[in-house]
Amino acid sequence: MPLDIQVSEQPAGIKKVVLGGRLDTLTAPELDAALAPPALDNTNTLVFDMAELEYISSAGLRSILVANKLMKANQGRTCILSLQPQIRKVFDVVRALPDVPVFQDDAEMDDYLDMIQRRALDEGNT
Amino acid sequence: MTLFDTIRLENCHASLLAANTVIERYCSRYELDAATRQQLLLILEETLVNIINHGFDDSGKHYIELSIYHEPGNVVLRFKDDGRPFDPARQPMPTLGLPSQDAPVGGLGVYLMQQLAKTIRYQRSGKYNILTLLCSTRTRVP
Repeated sequence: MPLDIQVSEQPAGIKKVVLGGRLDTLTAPELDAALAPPALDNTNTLVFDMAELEYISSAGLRSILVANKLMKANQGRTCILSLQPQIRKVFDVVRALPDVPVFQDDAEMDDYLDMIQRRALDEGNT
Repeated sequence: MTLFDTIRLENCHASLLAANTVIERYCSRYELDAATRQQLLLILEETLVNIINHGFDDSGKHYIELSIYHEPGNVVLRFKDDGRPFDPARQPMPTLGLPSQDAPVGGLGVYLMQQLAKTIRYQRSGKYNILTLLCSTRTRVP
């Protein structure tokens, strides 16, 4: 089964990457290519929606890690939305991305992003 | 009844597709549950890709023999290759849980393999590595 990647731009510098299928040794280079510079230049928040992702290996984790490093280098952030249990297990075993928040649904993530934006506005006003 | 599937794989990433097919077919035939199937596929990929990426000193063509079979309570994956001696069970644990800017981007595959396999047996036999990984299964052994 191949990897499905849908990238969409959302307001306020949010880029959503919806992943489906398998993120493994054979497909991870496709994700690397989709997110390679300058793809993330105008993004402050990168969201990986993994609800439809069925399989991830260390090669796939590596791609997520690399993307997160690119975001951090530009003072941006990465969030993950909806992990299936077998995907969560892989993240848990290698304790990958301890500083990346994982949300179970859109509402939970939207609350978090609202909070971040309010905080940024407050800091801008003081 | 065949209890033993064996396939000879070239040392290139495309071999993963053929290897996955062998695992899928085996899991269907013995009606192994989804969790066991997922675990086998992951152990397979991490082990095979590690051998392909790091096992050989030259850039020539090599073959890796993969076998899958049952032992009571376990499904067993066995890899035989003529690469340099390498015992994954004896590799040091990577530093985990580092913030992303400090976390290394590689080295997680062998650790994942160590954690997912119930037992890893390694043996060097002549010029061959023989690596046997046990994966526990709740499905009744045929």
